[in-house]
Amino acid sequence: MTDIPATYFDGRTSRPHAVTLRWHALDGVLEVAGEEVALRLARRDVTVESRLGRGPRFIRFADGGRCEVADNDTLDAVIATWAPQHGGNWLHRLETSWRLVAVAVVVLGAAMWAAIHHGLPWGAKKVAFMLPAEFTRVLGDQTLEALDRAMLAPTTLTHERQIKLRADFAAFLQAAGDTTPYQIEFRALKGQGANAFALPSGTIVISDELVLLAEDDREIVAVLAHECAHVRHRHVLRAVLQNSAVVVAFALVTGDASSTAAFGGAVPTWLLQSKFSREFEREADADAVEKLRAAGLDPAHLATMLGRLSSAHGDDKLALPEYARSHPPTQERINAIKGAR
Amino acid sequence: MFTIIGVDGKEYGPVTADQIRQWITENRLTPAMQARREGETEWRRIADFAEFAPPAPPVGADGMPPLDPAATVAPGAALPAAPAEPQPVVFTGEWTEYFKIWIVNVLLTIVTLGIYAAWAKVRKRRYFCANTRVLGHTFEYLADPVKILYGNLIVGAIFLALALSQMMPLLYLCLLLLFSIAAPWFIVRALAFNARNTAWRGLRFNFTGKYGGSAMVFLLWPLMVPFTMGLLMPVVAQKQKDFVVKHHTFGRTAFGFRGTVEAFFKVYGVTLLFFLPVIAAYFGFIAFMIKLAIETQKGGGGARPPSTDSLALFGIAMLFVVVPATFIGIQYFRARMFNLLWNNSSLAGTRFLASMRFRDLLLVEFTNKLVVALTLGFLFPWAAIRTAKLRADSLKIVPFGNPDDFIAAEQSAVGAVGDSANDFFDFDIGFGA
Repeated sequence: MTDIPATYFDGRTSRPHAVTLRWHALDGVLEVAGEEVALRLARRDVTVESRLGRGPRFIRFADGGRCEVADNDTLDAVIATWAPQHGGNWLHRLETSWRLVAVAVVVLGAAMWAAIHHGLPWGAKKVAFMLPAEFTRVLGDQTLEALDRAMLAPTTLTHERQIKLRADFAAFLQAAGDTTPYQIEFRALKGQGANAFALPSGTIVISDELVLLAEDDREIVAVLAHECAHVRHRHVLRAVLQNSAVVVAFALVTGDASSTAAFGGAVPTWLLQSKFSREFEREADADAVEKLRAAGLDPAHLATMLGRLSSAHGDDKLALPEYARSHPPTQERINAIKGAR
Repeated sequence: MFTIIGVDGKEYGPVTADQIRQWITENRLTPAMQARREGETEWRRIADFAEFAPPAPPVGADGMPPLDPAATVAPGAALPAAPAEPQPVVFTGEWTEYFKIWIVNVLLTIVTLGIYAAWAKVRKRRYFCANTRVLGHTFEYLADPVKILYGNLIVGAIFLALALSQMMPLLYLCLLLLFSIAAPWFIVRALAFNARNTAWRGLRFNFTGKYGGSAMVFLLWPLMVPFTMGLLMPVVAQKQKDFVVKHHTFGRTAFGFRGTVEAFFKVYGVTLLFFLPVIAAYFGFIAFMIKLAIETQKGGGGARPPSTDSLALFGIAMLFVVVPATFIGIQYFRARMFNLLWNNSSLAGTRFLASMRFRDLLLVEFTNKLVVALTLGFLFPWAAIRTAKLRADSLKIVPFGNPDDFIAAEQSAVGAVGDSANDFFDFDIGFGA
């Protein structure tokens, strides 16, 4: 029988009572004794809170009363014999072991690295390919509608020119053995210059400025081959999935959704998203090279076009470091394309 | 003549004002208890009736009565030896200790694929409650992790639906509309869940707000803000805090709130000054875009179109104005709102003294964010402990009457879905700003 000093509250008023807890191991009775308190509680009417840090612990009774106990060690020793079914303090042992903390830091660091490099891209890919075709079609159509209103204007290319380019593209697809139903849309890009982009539905938008920039129509086909790769690999969907997963994961780990959007989380989130985007560009380049070669076209056309786009945009004059870019440096991409033998 | 509700929850009366005064002196009633004047329908605190109000104390320079409660006690009243001095809120959490609890939480959450997050939340809140001491006693956190798990699952499904439907604007709008209508419900449920699962000296808090009131202040009033160019914002904020604070109870005793619209206007007005650079930057950005559009129109095919990276660079330059100004503005707002909220809240005569300084909060939060970012989130527990310590250090309690005399109220259980929603979508509803 061990006595433990405690503070008793009856759960009906906010009045504290200084009491002594007497634990009778034999008949399983807890006696709460104080100036105005005399209680005898059976084992089944007593719940002991698990230990947490140095903080005081509450012992709750079935009638709503409770005792606050500061002496955690003595309480643990008593509980071990008085009510062994309460189980050990395994969680508390985990939470107080520096050795475990060291292991946890290493494991978490490795898990974070693995999740970012492998787990997340893998999962996003699986999900992106599970989404039904109808979903990607609606998604692509609505995106194009929104873009048409905001930043796209009707094309100024002649009808003949469009037909010629479509025919070149169709010939390339046939030669490369690609049966995906792509759809080419010509548009003038307000203030955006030469560009081409793919929508999840298989629609590829190509700007008039890009068509004018090319000096050989095979260069345009090469750019289209790159965009086809984005479509087939579902890069847009995967980017959306990965990016939202990063935001959620950050909020979960820090337990703070607001700072993710505001200050601390914005920069790392943005850097990660740029990294994913660069990886997609590399994958699309490599895929385009393969398809161009299969169709009997020289992949160097893609490299030439990338060079033209880069000097038209003046990209590489800005000393933006690689980790902040959405695309890999053009020279690196050109080298990779030329080096792919 | 009055009807009163006694300590046992039963109605007594009608009785005369003199009888009530007598009972107060005999300590059978406290000014916090409820009474109703004959012929009226509204129950009010006894202290809120002019007849039983403490003799009007001289008003201090700051518009608040002086702090000495002895001046408000009737002569000869059998009032207990309540501490007359403002009492500190003591926070005893230590970051090395909390770090270990946090990392086990994170690890187990990952290992269990998120299921443990509910238990992790309980341990986290329990730690902060157990390490916050008021008038010698700590707080209890009593939430059932299983309920939080259900809440997390439901809210996770809602979040997933919203995120995926973002790609389909029409569906997204419909879901968003539905969610907006449900948000006031989530808010009252979150407040109720947290209040009912927090206790001090064996008595639970409660939140008694209903959907109707919540929808008024969190849905309808905010809808009108855009039509007034934001001028209505302080008014709406005052209504929201008024709703949140006044529907909180400790045991049977309701909290009071007397923050005025003027006070809210003052905080919002000064905060606006901090956001002037942000507004200027946005106008600069719009001017930049217009200039771009004009140049491309004029230049025809010959003009060199700007690259996407030069736009990005412009964006980065803006970050150096917008992000710091926003961050500083937010800290000013938080410090002032913390003070405004607590200084105008009361619990049956018990008052709070908040004195958070803007520069203290700015320093703490800036170093917090910096260290958390530099350590890839690993020192988040350090930051959380520092913020909690600053809040506790900035708050004092001026007890009135005997703090032993609060009485429990009947309560029912409430689900955790609102609380999970609050964690996930971060509604701005906190009691303590």
